[in-house]
Amino acid sequence: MKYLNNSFVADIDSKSLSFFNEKQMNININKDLINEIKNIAFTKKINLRINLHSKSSDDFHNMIIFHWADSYIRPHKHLYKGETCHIIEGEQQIIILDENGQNIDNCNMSIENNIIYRITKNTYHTAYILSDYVIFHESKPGPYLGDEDSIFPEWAPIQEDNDSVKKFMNKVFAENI
Amino acid sequence: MSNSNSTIYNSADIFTLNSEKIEFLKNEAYKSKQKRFRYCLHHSNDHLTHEMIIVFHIDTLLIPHRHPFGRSESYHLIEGAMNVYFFDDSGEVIDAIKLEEKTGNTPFLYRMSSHTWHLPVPTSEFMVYHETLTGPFLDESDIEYPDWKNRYDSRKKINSLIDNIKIS
Repeated sequence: MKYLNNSFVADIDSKSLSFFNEKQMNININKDLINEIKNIAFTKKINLRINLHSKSSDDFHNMIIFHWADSYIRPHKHLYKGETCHIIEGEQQIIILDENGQNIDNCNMSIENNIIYRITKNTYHTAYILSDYVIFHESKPGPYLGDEDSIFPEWAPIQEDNDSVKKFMNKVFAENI
Repeated sequence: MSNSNSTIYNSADIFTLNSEKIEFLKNEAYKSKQKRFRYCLHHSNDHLTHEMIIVFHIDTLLIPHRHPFGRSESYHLIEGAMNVYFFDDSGEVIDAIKLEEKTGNTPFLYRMSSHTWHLPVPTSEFMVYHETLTGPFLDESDIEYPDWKNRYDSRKKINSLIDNIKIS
């Protein structure tokens, strides 16, 4: 973890492994850092997030995110924020859902095509990872507002309910347009 | 979608960038007087985060500048290569980086969190990148140009900068 140790500090408050650019250094991201992220993910079999901003109260957030294929991104929307996903490695489908959880739009993203996807605020969305894993750069306005901004609908099962999650994700993916 | 000579604003709720759009933007950059083009993914200048797909042709000339304290920006290369030069208050180069699309181990993504004079310089025929920047952008105070900006105002001067500043 040479690069991560030199430039980032682990976020002890985060549910999953996460790092902050706490010293607010100017940061270069290259293949070495991506390989370090992959090494950690492969060794520990976990998802992780590298925040290029220094803290959750910053005005502008961008981060490098690693997700395994079986990750469940619980459908949600942001009341105040749009967000942008820029693919670095792998392939995922962004699925847009209506207020009742029906798949109303989707887009396969990869480095070859649809490399960037931006969603406006107030739009339910999830991601279905199509490759073994996906690495992407996400950017959005800060600060992090938690439940004030992020709305999780009742029809989206909670992470811990594995059977319901599997059924739900298979259903919305099968509804592909 | 609204349009000016070298900028388009997205008005759709969902935006995707594919190879067809990239070719369109490169063509617009080439045709433009300033040899650059910008597609704003945010809908207006008062948005809190500005997201842009920017294309520079190698003949474009930019001006050294900086943004107010507390603003951050990131450049994520999609195609081509560029150098970014950083200056002290007298216009002397204090640092420089090379950014390149993801091929070798050259950085492809850069985030600047400091109030530093900087100048992006394309080094490939076309350079396409995704810029994110703390908004809003409401008036001229949101970008500042130095008194010494004329030191880098011609292709010849820029070429001299590229030749003289070695980037490790």
